[in-house]
Amino acid sequence: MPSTHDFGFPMQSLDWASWVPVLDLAKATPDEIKVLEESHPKAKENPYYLLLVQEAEVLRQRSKLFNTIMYGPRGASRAERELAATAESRLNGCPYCASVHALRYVQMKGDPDLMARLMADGVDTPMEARPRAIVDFAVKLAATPSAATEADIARLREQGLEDAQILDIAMSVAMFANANRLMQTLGEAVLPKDAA
Amino acid sequence: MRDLLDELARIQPGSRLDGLRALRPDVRAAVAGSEAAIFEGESGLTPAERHAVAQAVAEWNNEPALAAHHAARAAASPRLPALLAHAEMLTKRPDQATPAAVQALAEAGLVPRDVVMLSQLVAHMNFMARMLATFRLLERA
Repeated sequence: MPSTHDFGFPMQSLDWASWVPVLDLAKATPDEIKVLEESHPKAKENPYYLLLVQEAEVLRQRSKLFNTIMYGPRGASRAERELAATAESRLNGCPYCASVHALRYVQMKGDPDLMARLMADGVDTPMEARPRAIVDFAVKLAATPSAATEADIARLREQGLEDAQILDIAMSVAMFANANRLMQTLGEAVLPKDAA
Repeated sequence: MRDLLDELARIQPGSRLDGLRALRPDVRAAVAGSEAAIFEGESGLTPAERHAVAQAVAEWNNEPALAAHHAARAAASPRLPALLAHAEMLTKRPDQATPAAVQALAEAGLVPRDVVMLSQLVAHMNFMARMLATFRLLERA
């Protein structure tokens, strides 16, 4: 049976093609333009956002949620939020989400070797205790229904994470339970035209 | 401000979990805003259809309080089976998505904007379920 995993998980920038007609930017209302600008710096050129902006207020609220969970100050490090999001995206089979957030994890001073292996081999690739605890929690919370337990929380605490940071990691996973499902079911990852 | 997650997870003002949530007030505001936009916004999907799909996604995630919240406002419609079939794939097997699945929604009468609403609704419910699961773990652990 075909699966969105079949594309593979290259660690490079990908494009995304919509399966559903998107908004023609020339016909966008001022409010739709505003929501696009609030959502992502390049949303006006991105078919994913041009698709979602057809429900403008839903996108506005979702972008606010996404941006505060992934980029809000303090709490869990940006890299560890990205690690949890990428592990879940790899598990669920969202190559576009995984590639964006794998690259961002590395930008945020994450371990490039760990991420290359996680993308190539999957979430079971060997890693040190702290990223292992984060990835295992992400994988279990990503399941439907959640398979995460109090023991997973205890392991995160043993690795030095405070509860506010654990909640940040969990919110990243919850947000990507959302993001993977939109990206995977409304369109698909494609290699950029200028790629070799 | 409090949101539906506070209510369903019975997070008391001044409690430890309330304190943790207070560190990211925009999350509460955007959850409340998302609930209003998804369930009260104007859409080709009726409010009763949206709540029926939400109830089902909550059940697949084993979240009875969340399911009960939506069950009170849910009702069937002739195309609800098509909506639920799509919601089930999104929730349980998102890697099985195909353009044909989206085409089936168009054949059930959904316009692109309705497809966006349905997808956002299912995605949002999968977010909410994992938030509730997390609050239970943090409360007990």
